[in-house]
Amino acid sequence: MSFLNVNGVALGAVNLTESVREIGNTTAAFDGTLRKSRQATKRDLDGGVPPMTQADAYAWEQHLRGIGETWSFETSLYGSKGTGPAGDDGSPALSAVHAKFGSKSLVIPNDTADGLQFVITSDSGPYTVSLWHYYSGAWHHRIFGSAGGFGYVDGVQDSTAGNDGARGIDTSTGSGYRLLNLGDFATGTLGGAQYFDDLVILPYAVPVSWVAGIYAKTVAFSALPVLTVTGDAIPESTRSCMGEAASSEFMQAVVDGSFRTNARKLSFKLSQV
Amino acid sequence: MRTPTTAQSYVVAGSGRAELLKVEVKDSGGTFRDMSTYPGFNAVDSVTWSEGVDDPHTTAEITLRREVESFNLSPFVEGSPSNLAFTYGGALNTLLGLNREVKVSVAVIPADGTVQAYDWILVFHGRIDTIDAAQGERITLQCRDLGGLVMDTFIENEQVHAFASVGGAPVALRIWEPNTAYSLGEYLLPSEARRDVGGTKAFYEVTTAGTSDSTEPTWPTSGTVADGTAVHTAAGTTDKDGGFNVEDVMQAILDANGLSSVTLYTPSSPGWAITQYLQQREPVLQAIRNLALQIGWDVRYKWDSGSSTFKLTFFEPDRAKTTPDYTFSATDYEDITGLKVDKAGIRNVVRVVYSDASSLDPTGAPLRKTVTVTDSGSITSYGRLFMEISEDSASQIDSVTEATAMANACLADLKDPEAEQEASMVYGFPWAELGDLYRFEANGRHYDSDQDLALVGVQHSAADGHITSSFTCRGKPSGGHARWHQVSTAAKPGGRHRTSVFESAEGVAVAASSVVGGTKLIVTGTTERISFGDGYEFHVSTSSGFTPSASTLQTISTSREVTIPQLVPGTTYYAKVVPRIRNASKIARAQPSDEVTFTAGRGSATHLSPDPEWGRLPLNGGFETQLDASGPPDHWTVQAGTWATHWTTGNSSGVSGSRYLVMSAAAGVSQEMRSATFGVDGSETYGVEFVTKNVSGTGNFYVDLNWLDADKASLSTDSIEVVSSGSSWSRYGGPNAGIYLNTFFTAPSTARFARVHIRKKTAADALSFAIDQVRVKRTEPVSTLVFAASSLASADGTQYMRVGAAHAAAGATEYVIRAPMSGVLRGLYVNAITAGSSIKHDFTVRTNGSGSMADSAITCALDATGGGGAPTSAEDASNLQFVLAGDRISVKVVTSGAPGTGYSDVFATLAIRA
Repeated sequence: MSFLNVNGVALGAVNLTESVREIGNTTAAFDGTLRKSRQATKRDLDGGVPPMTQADAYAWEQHLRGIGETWSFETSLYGSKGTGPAGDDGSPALSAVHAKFGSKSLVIPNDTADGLQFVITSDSGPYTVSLWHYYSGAWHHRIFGSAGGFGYVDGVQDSTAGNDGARGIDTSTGSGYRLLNLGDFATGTLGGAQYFDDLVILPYAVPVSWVAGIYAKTVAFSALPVLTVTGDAIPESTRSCMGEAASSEFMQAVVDGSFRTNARKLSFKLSQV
Repeated sequence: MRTPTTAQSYVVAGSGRAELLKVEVKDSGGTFRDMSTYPGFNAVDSVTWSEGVDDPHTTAEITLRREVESFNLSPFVEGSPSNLAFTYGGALNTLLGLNREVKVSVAVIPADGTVQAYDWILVFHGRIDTIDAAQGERITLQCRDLGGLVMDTFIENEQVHAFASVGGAPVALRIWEPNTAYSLGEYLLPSEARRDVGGTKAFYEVTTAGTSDSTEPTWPTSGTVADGTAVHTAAGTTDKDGGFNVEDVMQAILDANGLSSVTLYTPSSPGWAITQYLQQREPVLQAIRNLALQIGWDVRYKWDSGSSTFKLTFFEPDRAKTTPDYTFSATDYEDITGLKVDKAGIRNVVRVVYSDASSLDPTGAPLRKTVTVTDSGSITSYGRLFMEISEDSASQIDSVTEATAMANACLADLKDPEAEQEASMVYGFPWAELGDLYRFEANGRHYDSDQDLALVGVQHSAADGHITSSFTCRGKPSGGHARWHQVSTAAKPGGRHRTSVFESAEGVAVAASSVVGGTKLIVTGTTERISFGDGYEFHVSTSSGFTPSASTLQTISTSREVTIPQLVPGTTYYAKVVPRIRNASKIARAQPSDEVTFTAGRGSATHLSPDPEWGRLPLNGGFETQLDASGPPDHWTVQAGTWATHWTTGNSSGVSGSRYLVMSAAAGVSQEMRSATFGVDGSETYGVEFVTKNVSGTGNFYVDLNWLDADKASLSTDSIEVVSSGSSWSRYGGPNAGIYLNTFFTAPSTARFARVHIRKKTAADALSFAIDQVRVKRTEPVSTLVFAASSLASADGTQYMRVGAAHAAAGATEYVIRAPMSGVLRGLYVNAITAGSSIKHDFTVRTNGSGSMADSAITCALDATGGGGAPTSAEDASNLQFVLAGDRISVKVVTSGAPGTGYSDVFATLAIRA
């Protein structure tokens, strides 16, 4: 196990320190006796990362800050930050028939419309979409994005990851937005209801190296901006945190075998929620 | 004090703990939502909640984080998932809304422990009163406990309580009102005027909802009665003396005002039975608390451990408590933030003014009595500090026992200068309840002995992961200090005493007894005082079986006895009385009474003053009556000049009596008096007669007859001008003194009325004269004329003139008689006969109206010169009227021819033709 994983993606942290934060107070009574009220203890991590490419550093900065949104489809169609679907032509519902994580997933009945739509980002901005899709009797992980060739199904590069009309998933643009269409039955070729779970929309491009970690996660993606932190640095194995990445340091360095003039070292903080 | 669980007790005894907070809001679907998870983020920021003995509510202020990302609790953000019940495309249903129920719970568990469901202590359950969504990044909710609903519910209609029961439980009665909507299941009491018809003292249940009629129905003794669109059914009989437990009456108040879901919890009954009273319109909670205060008890929402809920509880503050509920040491509080005593609130002489239901005055009204209790020790220490509580007549304090109990409860709460301590505790103490007795151990700085103080106010604050409590304590448990001072008021002697409002009343009836020109109507059949009812309408009509209406209404009176004037004497009338009751905000007109008939009374002769000369015109022409001594004689008015200055009366030595009219000397002033008008006949002849004398000065005055038409508009005036010269009374009928020197005036044909004017001729004259016995007389036909006996013969029994031998020769002889009266002689004629021959008699009728005898138009001749003496006659042929303007009438006979040749007597008569 890596030293520190954030949502399943290994973060090469260095100079990591942990501080303790008590919830409650310690007060002196009239006679000076200290009296403590403590309902919880929170642990916060401070640290940095080794130099990395600017693209990777940018992705990590976004990720640590909890940019993006996740949809668990457990209780509603709203995401972790309260964003709902952008369009609803497919009579979406929550279903307990299949669930990748938790007990429910999104189901789009076999219909003739555009299915359920979510705004990904502006029509020209970078993005990454990760979701689980049930077909052929099993859950399959799709992750695709704006970077050329960035499309993987079950961790294997696949150009249909984000454009699989036969299975009712694609993206479209219009009115300045890029939309994710789930259960797009416009072609009328689908054979039945489609199930989706653990939708993650990130307005940045994730490095290819993250794909395997995200695919291999055994728990749902965290409800952004909350991050699920695991690894050897976490004695309780899993900790929910909110992150900060307030600064980064430019440097010239060799990263991944190449000399970089714009390599960066990130500083971050992970505060337990 | 709420009892901590064993586990909580150990936590409290320990030195470290975890204090947790939970806020739940009931959503539109009726589910309580945890505000730390449901909104999509943990929204709970802080909560403060507090209560005090002088505030009926526990209040809470809840501060929430308003928004995180797209999750927003502001009820004005309609797209927020929490305002759509997290249903995409769903209907707007804001999570936070006014009147939504809110629960605040805290947990006190070992430090670092994990809270379990059973750890939560519900400390506040209420409703949202105010939402402020713009407190920076936060949203605040102001909340009151469940009593807020009871306080906000208003008793919209006056209700009678403790007067009737159904199934053993007292019920609220509404007093019947016209045109009022009644709901199914409400109970009605007939209005005062129709109560107890038939002697049953019944009350009724609305069995068909609807709107009452404009007139109260005839209430049956059993069964149903239709009333507009509503139907009522007799539900039982009222009981004004039995009394009902006050807690049952309180529940009836709740039930009757839409709060039947609220059950009043009375752990221990005070055993206080109250009797009927009229519940005024006020908030329900205030009404209940007012009842409680009358015995020094309290009503508020309190925690009930048995049901683990807050209940509306009716309880007595344990004023005698001496064993502390809890002991706090200096380890338990941060500081004593206030410790003071104040004289301002001390009262050691308490007087309660009340209406004693067992001691009535002769009208049946309870006597107002007082009870005064004192505390000598307090008076010695702080001086005599007085207060007075005046219970109104609707109060249940209506006996010396109850008044004394109330006074003592008040005295006990106020007689001592309670030390008021404020302490800020280290931890939260969510088990605190008002009325707890706490022992604060000596700390050597504020006090060096333990202090036992009662909790009168507490505020808890939960924020930043811990809870603190601040206590306000006083000497001992009480029912509240400010509450007593609020009801302290001077007695109001004018207060309405209405304790007997619900005395039985039978239907009203009316009796009548005639008075002159009207009747006296007396309401019978009820002895109830009028204080509650607003009176009676008295209706009179000439039609039997009439319906009382605006046209028949004579008066509205709060008196049971009125006199109706200005009816036509001798006419048969019918009367009814309609009781009017002010029920709540409306006037209720009860059914009219049965009809009574009467004859408007006539005046009798003895009603008339004998002083005026009745039958003479003008009325009071003798000036004898002058009811208003500061004004002119009755029936006379001053037309010009000023009474008492220019006109007065003389009060002795008058002619008609003692009094007479005097015109004062006032040069340059017009002076005129006028009589009342009187009726005259058109074309008839009238004269005016009076006596007058000069008082001083010279000048003339007029006495006028002013002719008026049917509308009393002036037509013309005939005047007698009098030269006032004599200083003694002289009688005038014309311009010259002398009773027979009358002047007569013929009324215009359209004249219907006339009046007498007495006026000075020339304003510049300084004339003063007295005048009395003014009479207007109409000339009447004369039927008989009587000549002087010396000139008469009566050979055949008829009086006649006999022109005797003296007229054997030619010449003129005049036979004069005194006129029988002034006026007009109708049918006057001269009839003459003679046996002589060669003689001629010419007859001329004369009068002396001008002072000397003058010829009139009536002449005739008896010419026997041709032989024979055929009778002859002459009449006043012109208009068959002969106006006697003087006091003499004569027949002048001029004899010519050759008398003496035979018997020459001529017999002539001046007669009135029948």
